[in-house]
Amino acid sequence: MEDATPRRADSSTPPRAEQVTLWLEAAGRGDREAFDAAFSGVYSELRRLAGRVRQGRASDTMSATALVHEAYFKLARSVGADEAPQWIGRQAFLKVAARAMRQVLANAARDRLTDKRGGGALRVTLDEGLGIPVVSAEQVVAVDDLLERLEALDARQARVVECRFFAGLSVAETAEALGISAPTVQRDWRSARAWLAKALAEMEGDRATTSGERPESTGKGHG
Amino acid sequence: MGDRPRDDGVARWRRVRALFDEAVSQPADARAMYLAKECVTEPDIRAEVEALLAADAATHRVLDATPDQLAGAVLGTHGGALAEGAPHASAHVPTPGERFGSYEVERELARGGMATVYVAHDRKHQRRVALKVLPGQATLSPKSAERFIREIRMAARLQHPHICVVLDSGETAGFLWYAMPFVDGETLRARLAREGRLDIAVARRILVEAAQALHAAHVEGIVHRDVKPENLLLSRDGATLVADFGIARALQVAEYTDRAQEDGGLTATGMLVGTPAYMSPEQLDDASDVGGASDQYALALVGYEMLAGRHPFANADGTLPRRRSRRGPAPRALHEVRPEVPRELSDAIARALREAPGDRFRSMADFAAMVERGVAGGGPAPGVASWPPALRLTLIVAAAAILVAAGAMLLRNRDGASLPPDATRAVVAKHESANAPARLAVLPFENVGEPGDAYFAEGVSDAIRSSLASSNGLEVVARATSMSLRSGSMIDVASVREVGARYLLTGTVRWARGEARVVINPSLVEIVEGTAVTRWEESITTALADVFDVQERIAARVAAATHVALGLRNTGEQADRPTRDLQAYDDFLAGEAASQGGTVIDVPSLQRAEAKYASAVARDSSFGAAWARLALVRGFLPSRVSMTPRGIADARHALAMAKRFAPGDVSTPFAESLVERFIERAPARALEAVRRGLRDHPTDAMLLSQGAMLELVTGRPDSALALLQLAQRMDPRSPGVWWRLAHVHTWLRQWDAADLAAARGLAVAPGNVQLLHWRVMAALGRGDLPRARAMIDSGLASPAMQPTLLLPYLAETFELWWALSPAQQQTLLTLGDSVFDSPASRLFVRAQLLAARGDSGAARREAASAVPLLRSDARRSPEVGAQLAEALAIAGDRDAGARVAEETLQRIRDAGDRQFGPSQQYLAAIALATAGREDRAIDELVGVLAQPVYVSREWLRIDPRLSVLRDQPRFRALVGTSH
Repeated sequence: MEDATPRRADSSTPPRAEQVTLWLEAAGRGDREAFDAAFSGVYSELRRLAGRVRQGRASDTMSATALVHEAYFKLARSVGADEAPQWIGRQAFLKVAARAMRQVLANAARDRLTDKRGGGALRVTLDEGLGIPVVSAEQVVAVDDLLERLEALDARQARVVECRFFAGLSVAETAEALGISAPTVQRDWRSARAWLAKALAEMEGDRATTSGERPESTGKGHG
Repeated sequence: MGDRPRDDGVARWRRVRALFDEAVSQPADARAMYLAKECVTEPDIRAEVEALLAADAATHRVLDATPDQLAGAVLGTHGGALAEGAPHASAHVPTPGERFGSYEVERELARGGMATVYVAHDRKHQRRVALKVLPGQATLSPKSAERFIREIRMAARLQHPHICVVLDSGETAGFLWYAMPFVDGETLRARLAREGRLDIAVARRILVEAAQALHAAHVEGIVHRDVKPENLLLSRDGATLVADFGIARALQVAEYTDRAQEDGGLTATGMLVGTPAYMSPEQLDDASDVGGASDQYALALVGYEMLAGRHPFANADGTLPRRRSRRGPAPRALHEVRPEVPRELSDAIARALREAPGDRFRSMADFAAMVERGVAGGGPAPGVASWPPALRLTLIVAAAAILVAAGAMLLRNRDGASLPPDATRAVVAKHESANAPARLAVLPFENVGEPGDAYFAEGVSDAIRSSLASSNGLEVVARATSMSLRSGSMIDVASVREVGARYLLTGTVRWARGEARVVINPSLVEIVEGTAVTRWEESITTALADVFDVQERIAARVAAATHVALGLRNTGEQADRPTRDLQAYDDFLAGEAASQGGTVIDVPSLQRAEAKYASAVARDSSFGAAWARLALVRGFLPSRVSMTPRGIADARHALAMAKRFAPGDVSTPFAESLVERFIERAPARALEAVRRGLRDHPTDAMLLSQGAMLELVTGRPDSALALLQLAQRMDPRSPGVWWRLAHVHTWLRQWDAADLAAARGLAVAPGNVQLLHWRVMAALGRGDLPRARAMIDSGLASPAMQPTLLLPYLAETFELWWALSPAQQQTLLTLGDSVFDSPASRLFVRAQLLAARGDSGAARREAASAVPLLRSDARRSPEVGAQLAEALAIAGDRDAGARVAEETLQRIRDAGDRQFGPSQQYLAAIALATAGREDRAIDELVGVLAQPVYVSREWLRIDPRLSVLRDQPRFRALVGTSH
């Protein structure tokens, strides 16, 4: 059966869960190609779930954490009762899922920006009535971009940010996913967070100085 | 500086990070200095690190967004709810090292869909807590937050050894949070994940403890609504704690958006408004239709999962059901899934899992009882029925009166005006006052004079309490309970509420000895919605000669202020002053302090009290109250030490005088029952004395307890239990009632109930050795020596517990020296006569201990020294006879040992004491075993196991004194180890 395992996901149709678990197993053993394949599998599952949320078909709102857990559940369920507890290294799954979640969110944020009138300028404010934006799709994209830069400085820190920020994993889960200690996760996260905060502030500053080029936001009227 | 980093991004970042990491590990005010020192030649690096530190210190609305908010931003999943925003939406989540309210966050413990749990330091109380923080909610209106906190406060008043209480709760920057004690251990979910299914005994205990906790909450009208393995904490010392009481409801009333509804069993810290996998059918139907029976159903599901290793409605792959239909097939019977599960346990769980709430157990207590011993509890209290009709009625009426009083307190509309202090209006008030008596607690008055006069202040409050006790329309909280309501100058309002007291009388006393004056500042406080409101206070200065007038005046004013006038009969009694002799009164009060109002039973305290009471009656031979107390302590003494003929005569004399001068004093019938029991050896007459006493004092907790002990003597443990439960209602904080409850449960081999009673007592009286002793007994009864040792260790670790009191007490009371650790045994060997009941007792303990340690030479010597002392004491009780037999056997005279053991067994049969007879028989059986009469020893053990007593099969398996029997096939068959 091992030979029959497809090595690459067909992006048009989601791979079967059993296949994903096999890739994950191989990824857990360090197989880079399997990681990519598993990533595609988990990614498409997460995207499908996220889409369902977006279309309002999920009964309630759903956090990134819930999505990741939902995906894990679906994969775990498909393997059968007897193997369920040790069906796959959770570690491999979390690592793959964190990366996939980042991708799902960043892509969704990019879609959202291009979907809207006014291009990338519209801020999605969560409580517009008060004019206090909490998180904007733009900012999510910015974090994703900055993470590329951080990856060049320290790849492990970028992984920690993926787990903590995008996938909402706890310190312990992040430590498990990346195979490092919890204090290391905390240290990595703290300086990465500071670095990102500083870089985001610099980006905003840049934008503020060139605000004349920016189209007027349709949301301004609320302020 | 050759090592200056190259201007290369990676190396530079490494340098910056190293400095940043080091800087954040230092106090904030030291960072600038540190950087200045480190970066002398690197101003740009320093600037960057400083910028990072500034960013670190500030919250960031993007980076600190919760996963929900993030997903909301990009997926548009704010579900409409977030748009109804409130002003305090902050995205800041606590990070380690940070302050959150009065808490300092140490580290993140766990994170789930609905909450993040931190280990935090409570700076105000200097303790470690678990801080649960719910994700920030833009929707959280001040009203919601207020509802949440109010609801949590309802649950926070729960106090139970198996409830993980909520210490504090609040809303900080848009985050709802609450704090719980930090429990060193794990959740049941974690245990299940690791072990799959659990050992039956372990699962049973977890079930019973959780059921008891839930029962206590249900009695308070609080339903948990979210019982599941994630909410059952297993502490490292083996106790189960039910956590998150009231949280589900709090979230519901706060209309907190429930995002993790579908989260199944994955989020260990998730708090859901019910979790589908553990919801009862009625809860699935309508989340608001939830009562205690729903908790029962959920706990039964947990029980099933612990025993079967899987949830009864698990998916085929073993995962938890994430949605359940209202009706489904009943789960497969547990004893079919796992054959070694006893049938009654399987049936108990099946019954709790019935679909209709009415088909389940009537209460969590019944469920616990069934799980514990396989017999259905319930029905009216059996004991009350066996008491004479007149008294039975009194008992029932008394219990009802308490309930009515409690109800009236809740219903009566409070008159906000200050109450009339003067007598005229008090008369009016008398007519106005409702029939329901108000409950009043007289707290110990604070001594503000010489430290040595503390007993005097205590005595003043005792005197006031007893003069008020017989007032009509007023119910006075018993002494032991009243004492525990105050610590230092603080009043424990939560306990006051628990006791149901509406009024508190307290104050200060200063005895100006030089001027022969006493200054008393009494104050009457009403508890109104949890806060103390002073109703009346004044300062009374009086010459000491008029101290009794002072008491009368205080009592009269209090009565007026509480709308209760004193009855005529009461006034008459008041005129009857206890003594005119101030020195005698002083001695009496000192005796009261030593005996703690007649509630302690250890020998040194009893002897101190006896001396004081004796000198009081020597000065005033008509001092009835002092005679009554003297008779009481003299009645107690022979239960622990040998009495000389003179001592016996003294006890009889004291009793006769008490009957003559204080026939109405509650101590008199109590003393009479003790004298009949321990001196005259007439348990039936002892019981009769208690019954007579209860006619005049139907709610006296100590008399009820004594009655319970006598019911045990006559072989009616169920009646004993009923009386103690009544006593416990009358005086819920009396350690004496708790340890007697533990005693009776132990005799019924209800280890969990025994342990619970003792644990609840210890919560009131942390230094009480009797209570700890019963917890140790319960552990041994289960055959759990490590738990017994852990109990002793934790007892010794308590600052309230005196090791020199505890270790001898354990060694001497049912001879538990073998439960001590080797180091504790060593300590015991170093202790001298003064801390033991008697020199004979010390020698006997040493002989056994040394024999068990294999030091037979020293053991023989100690035993030989003990023999003559024990022989002279042997008439006191068959217990001493059994000890003598054992000592003879250890000393090497096995024939004499066997002979004395047989004689003792005959005495035990003759005496017919069903309370201590079986425990004495057990000691005699041990002596027979030591004397090499294995078969006879086993005969007696068979008899012991057939009676209510602490000895169980599990106990026999671990008791080292029976090691000589281990290889005997009969013994192995008896204890169930032969196969």
